[in-house]
This record gives sequence, C-alpha cells and structure tokens, in this order.
Amino acid sequence: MRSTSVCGNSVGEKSVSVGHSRRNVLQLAAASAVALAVPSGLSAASGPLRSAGVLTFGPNNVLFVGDITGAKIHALALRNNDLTSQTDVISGNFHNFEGRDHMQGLDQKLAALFGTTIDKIVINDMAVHQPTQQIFFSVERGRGTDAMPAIVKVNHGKLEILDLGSIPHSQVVIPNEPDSKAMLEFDPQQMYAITDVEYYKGEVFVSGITNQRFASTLYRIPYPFSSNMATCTVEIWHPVHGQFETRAPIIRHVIRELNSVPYLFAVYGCTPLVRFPLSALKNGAHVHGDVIGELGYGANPLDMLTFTSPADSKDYLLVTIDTRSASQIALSDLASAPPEPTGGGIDFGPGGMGRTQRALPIKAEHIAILNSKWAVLIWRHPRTSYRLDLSTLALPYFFERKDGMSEMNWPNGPDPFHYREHRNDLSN
Amino acid sequence: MSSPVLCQPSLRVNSSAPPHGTSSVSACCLSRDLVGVLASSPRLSDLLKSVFRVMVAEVPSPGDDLPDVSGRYRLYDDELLFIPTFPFDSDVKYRVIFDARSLGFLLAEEPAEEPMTLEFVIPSDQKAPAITEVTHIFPSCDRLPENLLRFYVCFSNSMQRGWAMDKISLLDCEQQPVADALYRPPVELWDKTMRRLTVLLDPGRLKRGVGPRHSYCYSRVPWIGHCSRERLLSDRQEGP
Repeated sequence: MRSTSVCGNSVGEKSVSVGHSRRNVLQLAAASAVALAVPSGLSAASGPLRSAGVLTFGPNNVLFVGDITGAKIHALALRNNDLTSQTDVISGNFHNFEGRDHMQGLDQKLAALFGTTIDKIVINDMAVHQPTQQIFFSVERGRGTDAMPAIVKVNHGKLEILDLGSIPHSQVVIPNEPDSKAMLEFDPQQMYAITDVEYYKGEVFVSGITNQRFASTLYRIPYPFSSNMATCTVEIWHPVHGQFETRAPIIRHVIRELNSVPYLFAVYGCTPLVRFPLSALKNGAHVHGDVIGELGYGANPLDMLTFTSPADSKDYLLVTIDTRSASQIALSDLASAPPEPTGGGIDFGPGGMGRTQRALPIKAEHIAILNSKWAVLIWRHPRTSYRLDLSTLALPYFFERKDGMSEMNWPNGPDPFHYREHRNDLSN
Repeated sequence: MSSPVLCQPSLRVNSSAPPHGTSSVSACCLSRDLVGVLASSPRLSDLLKSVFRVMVAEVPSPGDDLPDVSGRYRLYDDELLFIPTFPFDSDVKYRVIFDARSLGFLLAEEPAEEPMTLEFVIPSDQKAPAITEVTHIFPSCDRLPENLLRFYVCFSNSMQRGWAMDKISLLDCEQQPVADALYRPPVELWDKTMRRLTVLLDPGRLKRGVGPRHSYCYSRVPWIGHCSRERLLSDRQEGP
C-alpha cells in the first residue's frame, strides 16, 4: 500500500515513499526512496551534504558547496525548476543610494522554516545565480556535531529549502583534512579545512588547510570531477608578522584575467593580499605567493569579489572585513603591483596596494554582487540588532542613504545630489 | 457484538518511528468527504499548506510574517500527516492548526466552526548525570605500617577542588572520626585529571620529639595498624 506524499517546500512536486502507509492509497505519484536512505536524525533535504559551507556557482547552473564535515566539494546541478528568475524584484532607488530590504529578519524566518529557534541558525555563505539573480544560502540548523545542513533560496521574498536528495549531484573528496579533535590555540583546525571555492574555466579551485606539515593548501580540481587533482602547498611572507608562513590558509580568493593572464588573488587573515599566477599552481608545487598589499593588521576578511563600477566602468576588487570598512582596489593595478619585500621586520601596514585602498562603508556578514547596479548583503540592522536583514546596496559606493543623518534629510534641506527629483525611481 | 466506535476529528503527535526517524503530526478521523475534496484539488500542495499548518509557537517577533515549518504531507483515507523537513527540535513549542472552513462550500457537511489547534513540545533526552564514586583507596591492604604517610583516593569522575577535607575522615574502631589524624594542606593535592586525591596523615603524629606526638595521650592515639577496623571514609560526592 502506498500513500500520497506532497513536498511542502517545493510547490507542485509530488513523491511517494514506500513502507509507511497503513491504509488505502488515494492518489499515486512518482516513487522516491529518499526517505528510506536517510539515517535517523538527518533530513532528506540535506541530500549528500554533511555540512554546508562556502558556495559558488559554475556553468550550467551548477552550485558548488564546500562540505567540511563530509570532506568533499559537491556539485549540485540545479535543474530549471530549481531556479526562478528574480530579475523582476525591485532592489531600490539606485540614483538615490536607497537600497531595499529583500527580507527583514532573515534569521528569524529561517528559524521558523527549520522549526527551531534563532540561536540554532547559522548562515555560512551566500551566492547569487547571475542569470536569474536568485539568492542562495548555505545554512545549518544547529551548531554542534549534529548540525543539519541545507541550501536555501529566496523566491520573491519567500524562503525555500532545496530538496537536495532529488538534485543531480557529483562530488570530490578533499584529502588529508585535519582531525576533528585537532585544535589551533583557540579554534578547531577543521574550521579552516575548506575556506573558499571558486570555479574558473573547467576547474574548481579550493583553499584550506590539511593535516600535513605545510598545511596551507590550494587544490585545482577538474570539473566535471575526476581524480586528476592538482595539490599545491602555499607559502607567503606575512609583513604584519614579519615571517614566512605555511600553515595559515587563504581565507578568500578570486580568479581574474589581467592582460590575458589568469591570476588567483587571495586574502589572508591580518590581512595580506596575495597574487598567484595560475600557471604556477601545478600538482606537487610548493608555491610562494607574491604579497602585493597589506590591508591592515587585526582584520579578518569576510568576502572577496570583483565588480564593474557603473560610475567609471572600471573593474575593482572588493574585500569586506569584519572589524572595519571594506577595501576597494582597482583591479587593473593588481597585475603589475610589485611584491612587498620579504625578510624585513614586523610592519603593521597598510603596505603596497593597501596604501591605495579606498574604504567603503560596508558592514556585511555576507555580500555578493546581485547585478550591474546592486550588491546584496546580509547584515545586522543597527536599530534592531536582534535580527539579520537581507538588503541591497547600490554600486559603486556601497552607500545606504536612508540609514544616516544628514542635512539633505530635512524636509526643506539642500538637495545637491537631486534626490528629490528621483524620489520615485525604483529599479531592479 | 461490539458497537462501532465513533471517531472524532483530532490532532495528534506521532512519536518517532521508522522509516522517517522523526516525529510527525496528524489530523485524524477526517471525514471521507473532506479527504476527497483535498485529494481532488489541482493545487494539492498549496491547499494542504493553508489547511494544515505547523509553526513555531514562540518567536521573538510574532508580528513578522514568519513562514510555517517546512515539511511534506501525506494523505490517507481519513488522516492527513505532516512530516517536517527537519526533525522537530527538542524543547521548542510548536503550534498545529487544522482549519478546513475555507473548503466549506465544497463539502456536503459544514466543517467545524472552530479550527482544531494543538501545541506540543518534544522534551530533550535528559540523561541523569552519572554518580561519581570512590573507586579505590590505596594502599588497599588490610594491615598498614604505622609510619604510613599518605593515602590515595581515586574517583570515577573529575572532582571539584575545595571540598576534600570536609568530606574525608579517618574513623576509629568505633566508627568515630579521629580528630587531627589527617594533615590539612593549604592546597588540596589533586592530580591533573582531578580524579586522584592524595590524603596525608599528619607527620607530626609519627615523628618522635615533635609537638603533636606529645600533645596526645599515647593510649588515645589510634595509630594506624593498631586497629584493623580503622577506616578512611570518603563521603560520596558528585562531580562538578
């Protein structure tokens, strides 16, 4: 006997699980054994994930997910019905630097959707599927070893949990992860096993640490996945510490072509900006990155991205920092920037390209480029610090006018930027 | 012959059972008329989500437009089952509402005037803390030399510092504590695991020519080894 089963988090999708029905079936749909394959305490929605960390999109709607607990990189091949175009969603008044909340109380809504309390919701990363401008999060319910991972998307202001058990999937093992009990002085080493993942021209680049002597590692993995993985250990001169370092990992990286040469640009904690030509990242290589900037001591990078400014059409690198303003650096300067000298004493910086950085007023836990006009960010609203909001910021100044106090906000105040003329100019 | 049992519509929480490994909630004893209307709906998923709702009952900002708990539905002859996408969390209060009034115009009989509601909490598995016990006292033999200087008291779990001297006594043949037999060091002598305590006997009672030995009448002093029934007593304590 079978029963009708309708997924509550995926509109219109029907499946049937066998083995649980007690009475007559009323309606029959396609068969699914997902529920049977899931161990007690986990969820079919988690699919192959054991944890949900860093995210990035590749070609053909593939979403890559870093899974530290499972020691894998997953490739979720999203189908057309997993994606819904959000290009009609209004993001705010671009001319007037007035973003819009795509969602208030993101953490509260996730807690309600996951059937738990707000303290058990962790948002680990955010990514935007550029063709549809749909926003995805990696989320975990719980903070311990029993945390349950999920991928959540935003569909016109509503949260939807992806049923990962039904999405075509492939994976690759990340070897030599630190043991789950291995500690740094303050944190478990495994926290940094997979720090970032980036796709570039048929390869996935993964940074993190291993249990090896030279812990800081870059993996270069062909996609579609194969066992032909290149592994490099990474070394840099860290000016703020006045020493060569081989264990502290890259925290965030991006790959961009400058003058037709592809480079991997990386940022570390406390906060060197480092350049690697992709040609140097060969299997077995111990690569020395060129530190081309020191962005300032005592800072932990949160996100690293590039964007094209709608003001001057130039490309910029953006690094958001937990303890201070974000750093913006012209991308064109990065290829030719000379490496910082090595072997000197401790230098708190900023140095190199850090001296040219422009401070941007971004206070985001996660940020991503939504489209040519807007960035989307998860941030804690200053007047309601108990909640996380999902909001937009206008490029290229990343400035939110409505959150500040200025002379222009008075009803009869000056209007040097012609805000009043564009009061009703909303755009997506 | 037994008479038929009348079944009243109700809500219930189903305890964990294979294959789901999670609890679920049911609207039971539904009329065939109502189940038929639900099953024939072209937008079954949306309809079920509006009729049978499960939500977190206690939220920090109840005025916000919070989503219901994510889950899937199963429809049986007279029962609608909700299985959460993620297992119900322990110690979280949930509210279940079954409200079929919007379907009244499709039903032969009018649905109940009031929606059925249920609130429930799944308590966490609270395991009683293991009782910490004295596992060994060394030396462990029956007869001890009279110049013994120390005992080791071993516990089954880590202990808290600061309670040892109040809880440990040396008993004489009459089961009475012997005063001043144990040396009270300013710092309790625990090992790194806080599971082994060194208990010192007052060395002044053994060493000839020092005050403590002379301050007591020899016959009153319960020398170790003179009485086979002397006991080192450690009150049972629980770990921190």
